[in-house]
Amino acid sequence: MYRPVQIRLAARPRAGVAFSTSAQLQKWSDIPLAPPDKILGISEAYVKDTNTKKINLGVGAYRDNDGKPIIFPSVKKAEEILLAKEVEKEYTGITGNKNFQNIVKNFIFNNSNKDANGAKLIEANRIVTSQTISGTGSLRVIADFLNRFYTNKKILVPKPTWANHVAVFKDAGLAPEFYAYYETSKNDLDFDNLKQSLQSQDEGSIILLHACCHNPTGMDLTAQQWDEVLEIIKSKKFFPLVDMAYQGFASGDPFKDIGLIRRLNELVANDELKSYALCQSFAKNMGLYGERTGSISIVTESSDASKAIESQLKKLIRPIYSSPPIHGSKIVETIFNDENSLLPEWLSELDAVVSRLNTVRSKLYENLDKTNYNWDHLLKQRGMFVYTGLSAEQVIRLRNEFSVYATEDGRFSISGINDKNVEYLADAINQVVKA
Amino acid sequence: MSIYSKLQIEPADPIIKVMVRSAQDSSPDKVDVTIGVYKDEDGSSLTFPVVKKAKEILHTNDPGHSYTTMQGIPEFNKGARDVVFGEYGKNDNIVTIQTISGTGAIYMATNFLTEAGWKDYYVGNPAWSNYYQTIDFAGGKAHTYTHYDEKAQKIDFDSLLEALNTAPANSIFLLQTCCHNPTGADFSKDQWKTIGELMKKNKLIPILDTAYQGFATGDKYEDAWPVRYFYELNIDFLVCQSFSKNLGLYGERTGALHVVVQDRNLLPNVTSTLLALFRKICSFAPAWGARIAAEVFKSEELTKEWDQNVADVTKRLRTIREKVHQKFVELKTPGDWSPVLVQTGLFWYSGLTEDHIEQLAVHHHVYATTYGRINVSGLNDANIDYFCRAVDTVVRGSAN
Ligand SMILES: Cc1ncc(COP(=O)(O)O)c(C=O)c1O
Ligand SMILES: Cc1ncc(COP(=O)(O)O)c(C=O)c1O
Repeated sequence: MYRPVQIRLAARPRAGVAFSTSAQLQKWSDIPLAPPDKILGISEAYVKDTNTKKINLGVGAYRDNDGKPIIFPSVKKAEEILLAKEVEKEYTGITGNKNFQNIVKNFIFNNSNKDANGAKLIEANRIVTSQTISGTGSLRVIADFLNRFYTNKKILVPKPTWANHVAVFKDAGLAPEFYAYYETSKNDLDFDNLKQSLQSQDEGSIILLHACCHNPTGMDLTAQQWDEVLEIIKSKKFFPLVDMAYQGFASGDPFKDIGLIRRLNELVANDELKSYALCQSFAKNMGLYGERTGSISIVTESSDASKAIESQLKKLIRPIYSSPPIHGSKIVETIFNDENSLLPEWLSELDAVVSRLNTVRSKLYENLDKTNYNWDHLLKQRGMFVYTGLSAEQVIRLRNEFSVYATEDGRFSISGINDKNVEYLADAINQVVKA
Repeated sequence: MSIYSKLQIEPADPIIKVMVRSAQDSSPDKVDVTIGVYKDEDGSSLTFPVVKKAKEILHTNDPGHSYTTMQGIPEFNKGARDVVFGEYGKNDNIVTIQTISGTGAIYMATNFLTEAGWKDYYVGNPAWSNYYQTIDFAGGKAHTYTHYDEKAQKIDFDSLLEALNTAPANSIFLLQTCCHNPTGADFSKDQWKTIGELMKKNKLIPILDTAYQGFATGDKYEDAWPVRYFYELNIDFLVCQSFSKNLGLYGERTGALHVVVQDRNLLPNVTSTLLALFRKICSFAPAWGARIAAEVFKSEELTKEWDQNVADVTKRLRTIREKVHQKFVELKTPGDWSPVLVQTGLFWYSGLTEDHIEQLAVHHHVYATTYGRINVSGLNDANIDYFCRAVDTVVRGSAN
């Protein structure tokens, strides 16, 4: 399934760019104007709006009940420790350092000593982990890796999915294609179609799975539904690529949000699945957004394969950025290395964050007018977002008439909601839905 | 058959092998001059005093860890531009994007030029080895010329001139502004002027890689002269900037790419292309190092202190070079050792052969890169004498 390694890499195909070597052209004149990022555009418009009641539901970053970004207190404590003891800033390894890698492995694959299958895989040196430039960087690295070494370029992604998934995969030379996931008219998962659309695919594709808190819908599969999907994955010999950007945001407990990983580990341990990969980020669950702290892990077939894959990852990463940034990863290391105080503190802080999101979610639900519109899906959704089902026109009316800013797909980042604005928001939505 | 059976194990960077060997050697005599990181007089890593202060300030006025902007932290970008462009930094035709340090800047520069349709690169050998991999990755084609004449132990300027005169229009030249890695051999101002004029005349695209600004003369402004000179030529060019070395921020991955654009109508195209590329690589550059750098840029006092820190480091490097040279004179070591004085920056391209280097490791606990590059900062009063004697011994071919 994997192509032999080429010593020199072939030029990777670039989508949608017309090469021109004509000397007549102005040097940079054939560079197209790329469309601006939608979410950032919304943030900019929000900043300019002078309405004191304005609400920003665009950005996928946590805000507290006062609408402010937070620093997890455990993170600040870790930084205090670092400030006192850190004496240098030398490069970490291309794939990060062993301690960070081991923390990720133990935290996620071994579920901190609660996953015997994962423990076995770690023990057998069958998991290769590399620190990356947060979740986006890990998606990019695995996409480039698969483009180089996996026989199949097709990658199946849920419809809808995080917009950057498609952009990253395409740019790395993969061919993203949607599988059915959500039915907007029913505001619900479309599980029958999901299965059908996977069944109809050729064998051997890559399949992207959101581990939890699906972005943008907030709608996750149940354990039973995962089992059914995993059956299809097995029979179709798909390569599972799991993206986990919101670990902990479904239940409040990061150890409970990795049911899919545990199932995958079990399949690998039972030799029902050969290999899979996981992209993971501490951006949201440790609030390390801007520090770019995350990882890619590849579960391999053997320790020999691990060695080869690790060397290929190094070769791949070196020309992109040489080595990952260490401030965020040192915070992670400091927290995890203090199992008795900082680690439990972080876990309870994360739990509190998720509780607030859940409270906001229910308050919004309570205040919504259910006479003409069924809002029950709100209560089924998990994580930072509610996928309202509002149309683009309704979202634009919310923006123009009520200074409520959200993306036009109707996704609301609910941490922008708090005690002070939830009623105003619900009222605005009610008015837009009614008319 | 395993799905991974066709994967080979890639050879590690040769420098890694040397580092591993060095790590296993516990001799008190050990001298390790391999890696490109500045070491202090006592052999330890250095946190620049100014960075220490900036850390305290940042910790007290904690901005948190929110997402920054895709183009980077504005105060960092502005300050970084001023550092490398001097008085031209405030001009409106330079697009700056924060990158994953210097490596990430080179990655962005090459991929950006791929988008623009240009892919023929000219690289002078020996070069920083990562150039070739990055050019490959961007889908470019690398052509080579000789930067350094190993026999004559000086720049082979004719080779560059020939490349500049024969390269087709829109070819890209990847040049280092100062403290050339690995040779330490930089162009004179007159040579830069010749290069600049030819690049303009022959419509070539310069990428100026500046990873050691300040370490040549001790004065960052002076070291950035080639960048200002190119700016004055009114040509399109790119500058890749790293704060790994001159702020000692290595692992924080702090750097920037600057694109100088003559046709101002194209500024939005350039910016949007860079942002779109970056979003597909990692979305945002890491915040912390850039915030530290920005603290230094925006304070006049810290900036002064930074200037002094860089001057101090450079002075120490110069002193070591003089001591090494002096020692070889004393020992009457066969050969011409003047290049150690002429070369600039962290590295001395010694001309020692692979065999010499091997003997140094095996018999003398001295570890250097296989191609003879020596990190000058790894030497100090406690080991210079030992080091020079060891070199003298292997050069005389009398290793025991
Ligand atoms: C589904 C998903 N994957 C990955 C990411 C990557 O985020 P980061 O690069 O900040 O870790 C995000 C962020 O919004 C996301 O929503
Ligand atoms: C010539 C040259 N360019 C660029 C770099 C980039 O380094 P970094 O990615 O740490 O900024 C280096 C570092 O060794 C270098 O020697």
